[in-house]
Amino acid sequence: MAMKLQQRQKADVKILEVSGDIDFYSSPDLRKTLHKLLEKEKTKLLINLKKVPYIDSSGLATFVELLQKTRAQKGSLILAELTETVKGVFQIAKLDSIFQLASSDEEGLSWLGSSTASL
Amino acid sequence: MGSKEKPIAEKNFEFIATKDEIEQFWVRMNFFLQEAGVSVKEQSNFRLAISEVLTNSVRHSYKGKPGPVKIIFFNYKDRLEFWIRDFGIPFDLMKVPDPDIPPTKPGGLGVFFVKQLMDEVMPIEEAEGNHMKLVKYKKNKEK
Repeated sequence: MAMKLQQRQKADVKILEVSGDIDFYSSPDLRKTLHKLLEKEKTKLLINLKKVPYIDSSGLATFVELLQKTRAQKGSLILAELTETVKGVFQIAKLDSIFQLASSDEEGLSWLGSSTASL
Repeated sequence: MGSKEKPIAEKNFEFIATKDEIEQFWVRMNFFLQEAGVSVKEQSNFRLAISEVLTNSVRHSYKGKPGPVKIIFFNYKDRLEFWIRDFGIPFDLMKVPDPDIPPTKPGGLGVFFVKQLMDEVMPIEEAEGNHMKLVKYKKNKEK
């Protein structure tokens, strides 16, 4: 399943919706987009993964790199609505305890302290 | 192939490891996994483990270019086996060190996943290329 990316903005939060597999072939495009989204310091970023049925180690590495960059820039990162399969891969690497995983966009926005939390 | 035990089913796949060919392989592979009674969760686990080996073939054995791969699936009474072969530059997956868990930097997770998801991972010696044997025992479904 080919990956597609959709960006939107809710107040001060950048939201990226990912559709499709995140793997060795698609993760370079995702990485490129994420780096553009993090051009400014203190970026608040929410990534919705409800339409991602599969992720491999390349995809996971992309998120580890993203988390490092977000922390270095004093930004915030939330991953929302992970499918069971994707959450399982995060759990194998024990990354579910490192990332903030929200069950919905609304929950993630509330964690970010966004004024859009009540959407 | 190596074992005198007769499998319940055996299936050979040969293709060039491109994104499209790998996707087509999975459509066919899932059919045989379903036929072997493999759950959806386990199908995903096998997909991840085998894909990580294939990614290593493309990345290291074929230096980023698509190359030929051969996968043989065996369904034995007590286990499933996946024999994955490429014909590129030899690369010893077993020598890749495990990453820190949880990882603190990108990289090194692929081989870790293969080891975590399968019960046995072993190289098969070949004159050229790389050959890996992945085994999952049926009674050990919750590993």
